[in-house]
Amino acid sequence: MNEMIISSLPMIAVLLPLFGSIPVLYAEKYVSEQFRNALAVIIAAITFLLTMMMIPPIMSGYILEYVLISAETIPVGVAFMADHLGLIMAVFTSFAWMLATIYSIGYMDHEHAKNRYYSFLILTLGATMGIVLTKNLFALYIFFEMMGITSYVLVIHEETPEAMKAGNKYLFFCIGFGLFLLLAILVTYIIAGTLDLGQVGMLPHAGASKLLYTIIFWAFIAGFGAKAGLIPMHVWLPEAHPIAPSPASALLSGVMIETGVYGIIRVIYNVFGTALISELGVHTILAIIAGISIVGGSAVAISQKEIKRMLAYSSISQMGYPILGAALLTSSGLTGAIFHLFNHAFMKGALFLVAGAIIHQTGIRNIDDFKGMGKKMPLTMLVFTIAAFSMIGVPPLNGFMSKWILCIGALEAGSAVLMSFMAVLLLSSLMNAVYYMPIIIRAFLGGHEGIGKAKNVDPGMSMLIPLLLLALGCILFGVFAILPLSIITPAVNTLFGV
Amino acid sequence: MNLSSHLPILIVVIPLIAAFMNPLIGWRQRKFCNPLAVIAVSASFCIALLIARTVITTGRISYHMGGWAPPWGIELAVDHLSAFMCVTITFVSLLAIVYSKNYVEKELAEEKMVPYYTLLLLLIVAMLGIVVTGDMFNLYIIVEMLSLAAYALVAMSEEKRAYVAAYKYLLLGFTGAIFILLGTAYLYIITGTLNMADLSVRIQPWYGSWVVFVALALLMVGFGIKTALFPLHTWLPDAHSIAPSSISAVLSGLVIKTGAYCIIRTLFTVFQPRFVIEVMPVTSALSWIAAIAILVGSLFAISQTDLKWMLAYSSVAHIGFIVLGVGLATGYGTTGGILHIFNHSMAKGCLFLCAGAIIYKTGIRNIYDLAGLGDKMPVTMAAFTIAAFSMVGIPPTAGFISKFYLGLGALEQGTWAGWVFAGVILLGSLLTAVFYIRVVNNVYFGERKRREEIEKDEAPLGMLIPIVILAGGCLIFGIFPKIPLALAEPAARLLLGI
Repeated sequence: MNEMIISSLPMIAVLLPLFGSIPVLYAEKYVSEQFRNALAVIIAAITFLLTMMMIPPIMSGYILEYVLISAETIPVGVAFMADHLGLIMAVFTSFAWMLATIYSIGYMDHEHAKNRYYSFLILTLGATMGIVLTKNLFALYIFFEMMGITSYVLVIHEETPEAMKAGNKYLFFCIGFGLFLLLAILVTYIIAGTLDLGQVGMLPHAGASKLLYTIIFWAFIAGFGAKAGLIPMHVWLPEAHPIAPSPASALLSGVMIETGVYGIIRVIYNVFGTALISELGVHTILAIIAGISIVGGSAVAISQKEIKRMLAYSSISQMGYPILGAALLTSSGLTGAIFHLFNHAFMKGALFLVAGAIIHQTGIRNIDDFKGMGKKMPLTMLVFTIAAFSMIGVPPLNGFMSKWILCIGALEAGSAVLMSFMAVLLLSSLMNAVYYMPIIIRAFLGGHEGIGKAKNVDPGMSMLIPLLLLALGCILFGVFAILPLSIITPAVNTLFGV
Repeated sequence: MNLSSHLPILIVVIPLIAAFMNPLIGWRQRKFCNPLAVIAVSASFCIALLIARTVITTGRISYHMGGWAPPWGIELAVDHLSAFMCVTITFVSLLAIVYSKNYVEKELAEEKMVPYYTLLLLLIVAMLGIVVTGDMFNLYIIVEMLSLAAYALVAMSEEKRAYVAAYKYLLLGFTGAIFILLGTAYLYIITGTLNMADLSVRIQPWYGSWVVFVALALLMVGFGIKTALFPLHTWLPDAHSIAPSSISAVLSGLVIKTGAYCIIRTLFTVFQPRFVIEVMPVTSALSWIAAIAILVGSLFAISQTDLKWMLAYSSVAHIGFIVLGVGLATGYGTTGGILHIFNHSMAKGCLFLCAGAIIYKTGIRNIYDLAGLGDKMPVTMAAFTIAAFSMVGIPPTAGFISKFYLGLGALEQGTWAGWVFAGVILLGSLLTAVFYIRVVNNVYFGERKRREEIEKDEAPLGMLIPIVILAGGCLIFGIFPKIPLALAEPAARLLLGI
């Protein structure tokens, strides 16, 4: 077991953006627009730095903890904790957020209601950091709901009737399925008497009937799975993610849905524990549902013509991988799952930001019109190509590494049903290729007719640098997979109680 | 005897004297009515805080009127629950009176100002009297006094509809009073005493008798009408929506809660928890009725287009939450019910005051016409949003804490009925979300409001400050729930004898 030290770092990393959103809201009114943008970027950057500062103590085997409201008088308290799993989530969350905020400066230039946008962007960062840096399920639920509601404002930013409709669906999925989560948490508390995420397997074996445990498990999965876009609770996702401004889409698809998977991992390993889960046998069903998500999401993505909708369906498929990995109950499977969460933030973040750059510079949303895009926006399309290749799983990019580990995890699982998921993983990679490759081919090889007048319309620096950094991440963490794995492996060991 | 031992009587007498001085002063100078009421209720509020402190440190206070010892003399009995109610009542009504100054000047005819303050003070006196008295017959008298003041206040608006609503209220209210009187009489016939503490001892040999059953049933119906428990709620939407908004806030926030208080008193002080839970399962019957109230009230609220009607129906649902919590008769459940009295009175008080401010400034009552008010009245609408979130039970507002406790209480029962109640509580909050979020959405987002530039135009400070304090309370007591729980939790434990 890891040693615990008291440190306020996790708490500051959550509260800074939460409260920082207030000055961001008023910065333009009292100072200037540039100051507001700078302030938003600085808050996101400091949050990222704070998470980086947590790496050294955690790597040397400590868990950072800070109790804000103790659980003495009210049944559950609010405490912050950074362990290995929380840390890896926090690192890519704050990194992607920082880049998206920088990107927003260029992208949101001519948009309306920018004060509201930046303020809620930072507020949502605080809520998301809260989800991954909290010590108990109670606080996790609070931040989870908070994230749903604050990100709603990002989803409906355009305020068109379509945006309002998609936003409504998003909000009611958040609140409605959030209630399943609340129910599950209440029952867990009644049975276990604790909601502390610091321990492995908080529900006792003899605490309740098998049936009750199964119900709790599915209530948890409903609550977290709806956020992760798990089929059949994905209905809101393809509508809400594309309609948001692109940097917000990148965060919704790249980071926020992953908190749902994070929740599922916490439920399987911290709330139930591997022994109880395998006794209940629910993990096989969860793996099958995840498999359906993987194939189903990809299948629908193939038929999409609008780039952001296609990416949203791809997210449904991509979130199936880590859920599958977590449900395998093998250490390689879980390693692959967490690694894939890490990678997906880079890949999908890059892809959505590219889509945003294309929409911003040319107004093109339909992938049939992408002909010659490689000539018009060479750097942007290069980033797209790298991220898409990573999605497909081309070595040595990071997407390949996590899929590879997932495949090993599936083989390790032992049972025939779970081993067959290797085929699903391979099939899905093929399907990814089917919908990403035509875009790349069309962009670079198609559309020679307009070559004469095509001039370079790559976006400005504030949009280009985040794109390049994310693409660089895709390559870097593929070649040096050891970097994230050095945090993920201890996380997995802790969750397996090794 | 020093002054501090007279606190229970002072809290009632000070506003009572003010109520009688009011016509005298108003006869000379109308503008002094408001300061007089503010001073009197502020004094009561301070006394309420002192009482709360005394009760927490030394326990139940028993005050003998005129030095006559009970059961012959009249006893004022202030325990944790009474102290909790005292603080709630004086806090919200003080803010309502402060708010009244500007509101009444515009909304009511000038000659009605004096009766308005006189009646409002009498209403507050009656509410305080109900919660401090330890005598059944006193309780009946004061409930009647409360109702009479409330009828007159409902009829205060000039509209014809107000008279109809007040008349409807009066008819049902008197029916309820007859039930209460009969029930009290039955108890007196068999025991020969009216003092609650004495009654609870003397009634025990009669527990098998039909007289007791009938008496309890009559009291429940009578108080059920006063508290507008479904299906006895029909008077509430008319009365609460037509009354001046400051009065609506007091009626919905406090007056119906005194009915709930009477139910709690009757169930757990006059009768024993053992009797009402096991021998004659009134509590579980109440829980089922309350569960229906939650669903029906919310569904009715969804179908309303008038803001104040919507708020009124929402009160029907939330009385359901309170009674359900009380009826659960578990530690968490009853604590949650009592806590919800406080949380709901703050939130609903704030919402009605906001509705009043909207009507004051714009005259709008239809929720679909509210578009753009987020820019026009930013402070009011921000407060409205926080209070609405508290009603839905979205963390970290106060409403979430009571919802959490109610959910825990339902599951603590450990029966299948408990699961149903937990489901109803969660479903109820989802339904609440439907109609409150619709309003918030209309106010802030949507294309309609963007067409025109909107000038900021807030209600005067005298109205804004109470609104902001109540909304702040919804947040602060959500983040620091220990403060109200310090009274609510021991109150529930003492009542249930656990």
